[in-house]
Amino acid sequence: MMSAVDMEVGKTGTIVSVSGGSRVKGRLSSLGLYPGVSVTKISSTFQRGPVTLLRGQSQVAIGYGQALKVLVEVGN
Amino acid sequence: MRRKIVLMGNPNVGKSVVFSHLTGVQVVVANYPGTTVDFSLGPMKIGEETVDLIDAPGTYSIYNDSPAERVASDVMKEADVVVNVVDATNLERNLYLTCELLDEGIPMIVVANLTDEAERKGITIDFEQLAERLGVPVVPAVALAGRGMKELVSSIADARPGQCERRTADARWQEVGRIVTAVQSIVHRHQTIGERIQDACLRPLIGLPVAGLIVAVACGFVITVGQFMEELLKLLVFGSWYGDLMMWLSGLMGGSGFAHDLLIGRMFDGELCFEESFGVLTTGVFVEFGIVLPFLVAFYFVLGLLEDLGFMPRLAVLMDKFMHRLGLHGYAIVPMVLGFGCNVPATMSARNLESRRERFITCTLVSIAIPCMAQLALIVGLVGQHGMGYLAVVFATLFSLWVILGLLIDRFTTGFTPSMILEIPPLRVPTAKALGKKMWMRTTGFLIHATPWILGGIAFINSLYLLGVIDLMAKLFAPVITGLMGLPDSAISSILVGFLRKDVAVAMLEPLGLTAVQLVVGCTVLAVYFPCAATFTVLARELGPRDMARAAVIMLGTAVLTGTMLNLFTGWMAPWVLAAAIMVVTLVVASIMGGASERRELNVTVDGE
Repeated sequence: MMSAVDMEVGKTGTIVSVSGGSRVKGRLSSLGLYPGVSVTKISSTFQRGPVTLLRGQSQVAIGYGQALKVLVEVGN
Repeated sequence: MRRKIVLMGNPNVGKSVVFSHLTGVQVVVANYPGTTVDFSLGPMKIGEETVDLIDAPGTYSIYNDSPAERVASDVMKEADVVVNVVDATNLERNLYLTCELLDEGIPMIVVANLTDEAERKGITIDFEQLAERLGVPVVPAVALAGRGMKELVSSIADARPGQCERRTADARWQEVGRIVTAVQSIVHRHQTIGERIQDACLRPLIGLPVAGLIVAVACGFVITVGQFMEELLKLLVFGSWYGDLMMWLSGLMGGSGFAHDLLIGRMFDGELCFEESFGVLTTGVFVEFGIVLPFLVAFYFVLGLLEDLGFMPRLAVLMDKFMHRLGLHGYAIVPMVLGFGCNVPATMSARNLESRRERFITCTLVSIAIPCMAQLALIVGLVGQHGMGYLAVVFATLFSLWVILGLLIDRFTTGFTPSMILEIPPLRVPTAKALGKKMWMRTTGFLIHATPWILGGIAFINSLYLLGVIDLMAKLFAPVITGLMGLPDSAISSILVGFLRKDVAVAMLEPLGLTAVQLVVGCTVLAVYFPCAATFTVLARELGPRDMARAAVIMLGTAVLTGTMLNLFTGWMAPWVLAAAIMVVTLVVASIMGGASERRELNVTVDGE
C-alpha cells in the first residue's frame, strides 16, 4: 500500500483509503475517487506538484498535499 | 410566473452549448444574490409557452459546498423541471449527480450529450434501458451539431420524478455501478495519438514549454488585435463624429463651469483630448469603449478558445506547485495571465476562486505586479530607449514583487488554501457558435456590470480634481515623490493621472526629459502604486471596502518602498547587474519562505484530520 504520490506513473491500483477533511473527501467522492475503485496514475509533477489519476474515463488532478492522503494498493 | 427549467450537470459536459441552442439572444448573465457566482438565464419556447431556461454552474454533487456548487443546488430547488445533461463518454461519473438529483423528486429528463464522441471511443449505451432504470426520459444528443435538441424540447412535457432512493454516497455509487454495467458496453481500444499528446501535456518537461508557447501566442494575438481595434475606433468614432459631438456639446455648455468640466473636462487650447480631459463623457466613455473594450473583446476570444479547448485546467496543473507557494491554487494562474491583457477582466475572473483569501491575494498581486498590455507597450517603448538592461530592471522588480508580496500576504492572511482537486477534461475542438455566444454574453455582461462603475469612478476622481483635492495631495506627497524617489516635480502630475489611466501616465513621463534611473523608478512606481480607475472600481466591488482598503495600503506602501530602493540602487550599479541581483535575491527569499509555507500547509492539512 502506498500514497498516490509514491505510485509509479502508468501503474493501476485500487484506492484503499482517502483521508482529509469531510469537504475534501466529499469532493473526491463526487468525482468518483473513493475506496474500492481502480485508478491509473497518468502523471505527476516534479517537485511536489499535483498528481493526475485516471478513473474510468475521467482524469482528476489532485494537489500534492491531498494526494499524499489517497492510499492505493497496487497489484502486480 | 414563467415556469423555470434548470440545466444541471457536471462541468465540461456541454451544458452551455445545450443552453445556447435552446435560447435566443436575450440571454442575461446574472449574479446569484449574495455570492460572486454567475449563472445564465434566457427565455425558451416550448410550443406556445415561454419558459425561463437557467444554466446552473457545473457541479459534481449538490451536497458539496464550494460557492458555485451551492448556487447550483439553490437554483435547482426553484426548478419546475430539471434537465440533467450528462457526458455519454463518462457515464458512470455523471450518473452520480443524476442519482442525487432524482432523490430531490423534481420532474426531470436526462440529456446524454457527446454521443458521437462516445461512439468514437467504442462506448455503446442502451438509452431505452437507461431511461427505464432511471424512471425518466433520456434523450441522446450531440449538442455541438444541434442533434437531439428538438427531441429534448418535445420531451420536456414528459419530464417526471424518477427513482434512485439511495441516501449515502457509497450506496449511490453502487447503484450507479449496477446501472452502468447493465446499459453500457465498451469495446477496448488502444490509446490514440491524440490521447498520448494529451497525457504528455500534463508532464512538466513537455507541458511547460507548450504552455509557455500558447500563452505567448495568446498574448501576442491580444496585443495585435486589441491595438488594431483601438486604432480603428479612434479613427472611426473618437477622432471623428464622437469628437465633433463632444465639441458641439462643449460649446453648448459654454466651454467652462463645473458641469462642463465634470462632463466634458478640461480643454487644451480650445481642443478636447480624450486621454487627458477627464470628463465623464469624454475620457470616461473613451476609457471604457476606446481602450478597455477592444482589448477585452480580443481577450474574451482567446480566453473562450483556450477554455473550450480544455487548456486552462492543464495550465493550472502545471502551475499548481508554484502558485501554492504564494498561497494560491494552480487555478489562480488564469487571472494572472488575463491581467497581462487588461486588469479589469482579470479581477473579474478572480471570483471563480473559492475562498476570500485566494481572491484577495490574487487581486492584489494582479493590480500590483501585472501591468496591462497598453501599459507594457509604453514601458517597453520608453525605458527600452535607454537599453534593455533598464527594461530588465523594471521587469525583474515586478516579478520580484509578485513573488515576495505573494509570500508575505500568504503568511499574514488567515486561513489556508486547500489542495487542488480538478477534473482535467479531454482536449476538444472549439466551435464558432459556442465561442461566439460566450464572447457575446461576456462582453455584454461586462458592459452592463462595469459601465456604471467605470463612469462613476472617473466622475469621482474628476470631481476630486475639480475641487482641488488632488492638488492638495500633490503638495502632500511631493516630499515622497521628489525626495525619496528622486523624481522631478513635474512627474507628480503624471503620477496623479495614473489614478485614471496607467498608460497615459507612462506616456506623460516622456516629455519630462527624465534620466534612465528616473524612468525606471517612474515606470515601476506607476505600475505598482494603484490600479487605474477602471480596475479600481471593479476591484472595490469584488473585494468589498475592507479588503480594498487593505489592498490599497499594500499597494501604496509597496510603491514608496520600491521607488526608494530603485532610486538608491539603480544609480549604483550597471542595470544588468541590478536585474540579476534582484532575481537572485527573489529566488533565495522565495526558497526560504516558500519552503516554510509549504511545511506549514502540509502540517495544517494533517492536523485537519
